[in-house]
Amino acid sequence: MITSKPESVGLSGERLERINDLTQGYIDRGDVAGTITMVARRNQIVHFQCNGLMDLESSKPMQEDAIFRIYSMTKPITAVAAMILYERGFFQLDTPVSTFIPAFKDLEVFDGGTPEDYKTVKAKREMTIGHLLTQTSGLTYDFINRKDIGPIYKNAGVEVFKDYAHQLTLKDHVDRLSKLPLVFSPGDKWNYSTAMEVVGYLIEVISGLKLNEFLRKEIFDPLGMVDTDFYVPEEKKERLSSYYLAPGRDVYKFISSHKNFKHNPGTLSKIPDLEDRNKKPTLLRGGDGLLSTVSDYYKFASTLLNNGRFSQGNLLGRKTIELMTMNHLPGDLVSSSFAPLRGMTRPGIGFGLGFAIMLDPAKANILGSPGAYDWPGGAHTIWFNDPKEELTAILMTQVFPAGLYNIEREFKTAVYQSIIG
Amino acid sequence: MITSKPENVGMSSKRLERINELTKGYVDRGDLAGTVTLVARRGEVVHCQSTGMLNIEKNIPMREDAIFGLFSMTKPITTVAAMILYERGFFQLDTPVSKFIPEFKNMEVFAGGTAEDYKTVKQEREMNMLDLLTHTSGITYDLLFKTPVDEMYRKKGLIINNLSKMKVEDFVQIITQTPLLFSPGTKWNYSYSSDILGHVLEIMAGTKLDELIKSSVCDPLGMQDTGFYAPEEKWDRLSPFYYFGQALPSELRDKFQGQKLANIGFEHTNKPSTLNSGGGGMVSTISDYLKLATMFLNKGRYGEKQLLSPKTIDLITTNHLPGDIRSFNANNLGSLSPQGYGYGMGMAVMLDPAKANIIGTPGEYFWTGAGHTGFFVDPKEELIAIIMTHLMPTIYKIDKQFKTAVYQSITESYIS
Repeated sequence: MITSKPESVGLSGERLERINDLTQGYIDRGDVAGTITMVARRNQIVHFQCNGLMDLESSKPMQEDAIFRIYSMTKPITAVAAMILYERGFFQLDTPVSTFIPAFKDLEVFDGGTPEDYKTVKAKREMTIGHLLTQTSGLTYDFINRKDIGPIYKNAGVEVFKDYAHQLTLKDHVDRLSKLPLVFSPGDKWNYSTAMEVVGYLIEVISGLKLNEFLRKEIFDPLGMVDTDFYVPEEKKERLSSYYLAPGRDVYKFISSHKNFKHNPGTLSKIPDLEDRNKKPTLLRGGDGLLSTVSDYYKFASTLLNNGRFSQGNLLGRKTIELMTMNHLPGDLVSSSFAPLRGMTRPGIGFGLGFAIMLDPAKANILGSPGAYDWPGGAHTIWFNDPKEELTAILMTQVFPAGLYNIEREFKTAVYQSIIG
Repeated sequence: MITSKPENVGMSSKRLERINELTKGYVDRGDLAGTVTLVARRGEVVHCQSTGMLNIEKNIPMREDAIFGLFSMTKPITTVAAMILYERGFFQLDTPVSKFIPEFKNMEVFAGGTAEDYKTVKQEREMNMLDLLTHTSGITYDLLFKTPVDEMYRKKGLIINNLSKMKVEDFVQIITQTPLLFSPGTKWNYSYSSDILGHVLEIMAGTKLDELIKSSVCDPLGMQDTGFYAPEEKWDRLSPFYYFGQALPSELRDKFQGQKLANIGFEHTNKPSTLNSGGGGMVSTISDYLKLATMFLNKGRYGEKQLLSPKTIDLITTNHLPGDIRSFNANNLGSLSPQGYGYGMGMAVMLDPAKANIIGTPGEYFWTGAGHTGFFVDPKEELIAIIMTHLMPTIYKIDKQFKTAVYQSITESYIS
């Protein structure tokens, strides 16, 4: 995998070793089972390292082509898919969502009450596709606004940790969402949400293809992302990395209801998948549904870093990449957020079209460059691109719950401190 | 027209085809009669395409040298004429307008009430030349239908469609005898400011605006098809105006019953006007407007001539408002007072594409005309794009769609 010596692109091989110190530490303490880390600069891969195990029970070592549940790292891919259609003229960022999904026309905003008996007011403005891509739509996740809207989402059957994968379609999910109150008027605030499922459905409506077909045709095939999909086909089954609950954590209700779940207090406990991961789902979740490998995600990330260009042409134009990687919020995530979210709502960081944008490393309290962009996945995976440093880095692991460890930021620090030229 | 392959200047031919898909879509759906589009980068024209019909009824296809009504795309030309006089020392930006039209000395400001019964207050300061150039004068437009002040204009007979037939003295009298919408410099509002500016230039230069613009702008740039009307020998190239059927004024509705696009003829564009409207009276072709835009992109230089100094071009294309247009506007005019754009002199300036909700570059400047024409100049990308067509009133977002189609064609990457 490694294509160049770190020193040839201004990185120190010795300093890069600190990435291994970091991940090996997590593994030795029993906090994660295994990791893959990757660093590339100026289109040269200078670090690619597997550590630990991809399955504890069978002592199977982590392997380079291991497949991971990338969860929210799906969102940047769905955002790029949407912008492919933007470039073809199907919509503007201020195009109302209702242009394509009429049920999103007259949305209501939650205005107090209980999940069973609540008031609403009319939304101040229509929800636009830009609102969806920037997570300012007023939608939410059931696990964020737990007291009021959370139960409303759950009762309506749009909760995240439930096996709808083979029961619902994207249209069902969006239909259900359209009947629920928003947490604020579109554009008023930033709030992490199921918006990218709606974007996924828009892609289906506009393109006439299922989301997986569109992604395959327009992104995965052109970029050669051969191992990225909404499920793991039978022949790749052995490559799927196991998923673990962090030691010492409460057993979440949704996990305890899993068949075959056995809690091992004090050590990593394997979380069986909710759904059958070897069967193509009907609910193609553009927000968190994909599985991928480090090499595949690198193909995606490096295309963005190269301003949309890849070996066969342009996935997106450079100006579109610029638009996606600008801060679209009036301030940073702290000043714009509706509800603080652990590990996500940080000062000095804004939000573009589908991912976070570093505005000010001093305010964000971490090494970095203004203009760098990243987004994590729910199992402690992380990816970032730094256009100024011409740098991409990826960390994959599989441990729940999100935001528990600081490994994403520690990884970022280890990567950046390796730059010596 | 085309002088280079797009790939030579970092653009993709295949992606530029999306401009044709866009315009052809409008024409095929019968939403527009025809269009001419042009893209130039680094001095090379990489796209120039005529689509559809110049005149549907007479079965005349669109042509690259078609002449169109510029409407508000006249404003940047008037700005250039003004700033030529500025450079020659005729005025400073803070020179009061009353120096040239004394009636502007003691303007009253509307302070509530109706068009018939209203209160006024004294202006905080006098209107100056910059206010006219940046639409912060307190003057408004009858066509906005937003406030009692624009209603007063209409009641006094100031209707934009009749502007070209008015005597300039009568026009100025209505403006000076009607209260301002706000005290000069305190708000932004789209208005007759450019028309008043045009008349101020006439007074300064001692010539009619058409002659002034011809001698100081059009002749030096070789904009031979640009003026306040098209003479008879060019009528075969002059586009008639189409009017969107459903939006026709009531008096015309019977005549064009049921037609999606109503050909309402040449209007003011085929004969001299009594009033040369610096805000919207001119006609031009895409290649002429390219000359103007090229002069801007080249910081005032065109060929061997330096029409304006680079510093003056910078001054014209800088945001003169304290924030974006939306945050400073007196009336929310939708796409005419957008978020994320500031306002320079006779044109908007992109401040933040994220706020503006569109692909683009900070520092890019643009304006549109009521016939769905549009242009933009992007100094950073060394890019010019122009779309000409001839449908009123403004109902489509084709200018934004065109901008998107142009920008997404840039494929060069700065990382090797």
